[in-house]
Amino acid sequence: MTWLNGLNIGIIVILIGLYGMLTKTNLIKMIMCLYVMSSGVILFFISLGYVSGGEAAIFENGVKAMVDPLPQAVMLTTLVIGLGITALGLALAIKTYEDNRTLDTRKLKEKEE
Amino acid sequence: MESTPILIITFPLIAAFLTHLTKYTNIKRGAELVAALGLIIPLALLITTAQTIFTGNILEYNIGGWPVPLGINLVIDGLSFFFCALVIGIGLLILLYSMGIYLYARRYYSLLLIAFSGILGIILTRDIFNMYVFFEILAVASYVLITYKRKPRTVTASFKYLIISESTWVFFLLAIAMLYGLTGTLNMDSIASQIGVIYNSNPQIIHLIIALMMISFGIKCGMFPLHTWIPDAHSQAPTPVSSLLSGLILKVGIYAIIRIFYLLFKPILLQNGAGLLLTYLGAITLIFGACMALVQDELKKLLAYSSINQIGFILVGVGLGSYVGLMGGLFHTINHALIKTALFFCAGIIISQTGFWKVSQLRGVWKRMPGVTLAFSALSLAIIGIPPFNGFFSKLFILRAALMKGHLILMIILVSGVIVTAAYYFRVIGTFFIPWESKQARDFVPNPVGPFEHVSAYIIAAGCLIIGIIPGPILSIIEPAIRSLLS
Repeated sequence: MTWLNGLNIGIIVILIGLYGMLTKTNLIKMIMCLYVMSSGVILFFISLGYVSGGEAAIFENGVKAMVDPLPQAVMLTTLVIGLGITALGLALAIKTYEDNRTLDTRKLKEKEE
Repeated sequence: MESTPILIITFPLIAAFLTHLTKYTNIKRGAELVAALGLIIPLALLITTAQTIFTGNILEYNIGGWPVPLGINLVIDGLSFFFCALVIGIGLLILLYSMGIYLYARRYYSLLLIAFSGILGIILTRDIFNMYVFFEILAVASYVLITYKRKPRTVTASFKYLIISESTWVFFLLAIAMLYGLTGTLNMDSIASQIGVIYNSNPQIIHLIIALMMISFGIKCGMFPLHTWIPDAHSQAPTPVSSLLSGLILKVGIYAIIRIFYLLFKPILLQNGAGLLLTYLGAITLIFGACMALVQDELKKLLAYSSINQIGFILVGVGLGSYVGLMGGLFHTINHALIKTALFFCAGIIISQTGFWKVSQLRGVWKRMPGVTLAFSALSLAIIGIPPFNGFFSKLFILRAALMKGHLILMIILVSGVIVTAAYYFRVIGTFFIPWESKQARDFVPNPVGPFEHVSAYIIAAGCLIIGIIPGPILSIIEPAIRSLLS
């Protein structure tokens, strides 16, 4: 089961999100897919710095293997950005529903034309 | 001054917060004043660095004092200087236009300044993840700015932009992750020094990274298959925001393409024809934008498709990779930013005065608004590339670069692109100068348009003519930018 590592699962999660993004027509579901894609990238990036049996990167006596702290720090930023984007996207979805009484992209397109 | 790069980014950000505090003061138009200061101070700071840049040096600042591979560093070199000057200049003109009416309030100026801060950050940073963060700052500010005047269609346009843009940033993050995994650093210069070795041992992964980056920046600059957010967002946004989107945000995508491809992948780009990929995508973008603009009836949508068309010209120039091509590409960047900003200003004035937003309804507007229609016509001539105006030189440079590389098909595409551009702009100008007027809707009340709007459009129209007659000063700013790219 060596293929079952964070990198591969990250890519699979991104592809699941991308599939949802391309097929779903509900605005809320699209935002969920966006967050799934973003989670996949976060998993991928964190797994890059993962060392099996490693510890936190604090230099003390007895620490042999340690995980790379930079991907974790960087992905913390991405998580926060993802949160902000999701909140904004949901707010826009609410406004869209208030205006059009629908969340279906096909019906929205009909209304615009 | 050593800390100039960080100050250029922070001043608009500080001003963005101060605009909200002007609520508690008695200063008339305090928010506008603070917003203008938030851009004028960075401009002054930028001018102080001009001496260093023109002598071919760079200005570097390490955030927190951490040396390069560990910390984030901000660099002003020729290219950054050129784009910073462009952004601050256009930014001040957009502020000038917004000042005209009281329609735009503190929240608007605050968001606008956050967007400018994000753009300046993208331009100055040399840390690839930091670039992503600034891109997100810019993106969030622009999603909200599009919906500033809340109508059902603005919300859907903004949502479309959000979904398309955010899903491609996932690809950019993936590319960053791969680069980090391969090189162990996020600093662009350090990555660039290692990329050649990686390419020799494993070219496929570099191709994958280039493809991922191309997708994510193609979205920002409106490259052909990724342009779908542009027409909606540009036509639904309030006028100054349309100018911001077309004039600056598309240019940031161009900047990112130039920076990433020329700094990181330059040897690969010139060796294996990845640059030609950019050129041919540019050519397709050009033809597509021109054809779509030809059939549009909405004025703002026509201008949006025209932006896609002109971005195609820039991409062709940049992708050719030669000195003349880059000169044409960068010169056209500045020309298109100026002209399209002003065209959106004129379109905004015309639409708010007549209430018509379709070209076919705008018959005979020159009688009511001679100044604005004349400015619009002059700017259209400039973007087509008719000699006394600035668009002529940039398109000439791009054509010459194509000729020097011997791409005959490319030349035919470029020339036909210019002809189609002329066709759709002359259709608009022709409608404006029809001797009879369209009937006004009975209950229509024209929105007030102040002198500031007119002045900002006229300044740019005059500027285009002056640059067309004396292109020397602009070329001397582009010169160090190209030197920093090709050295």
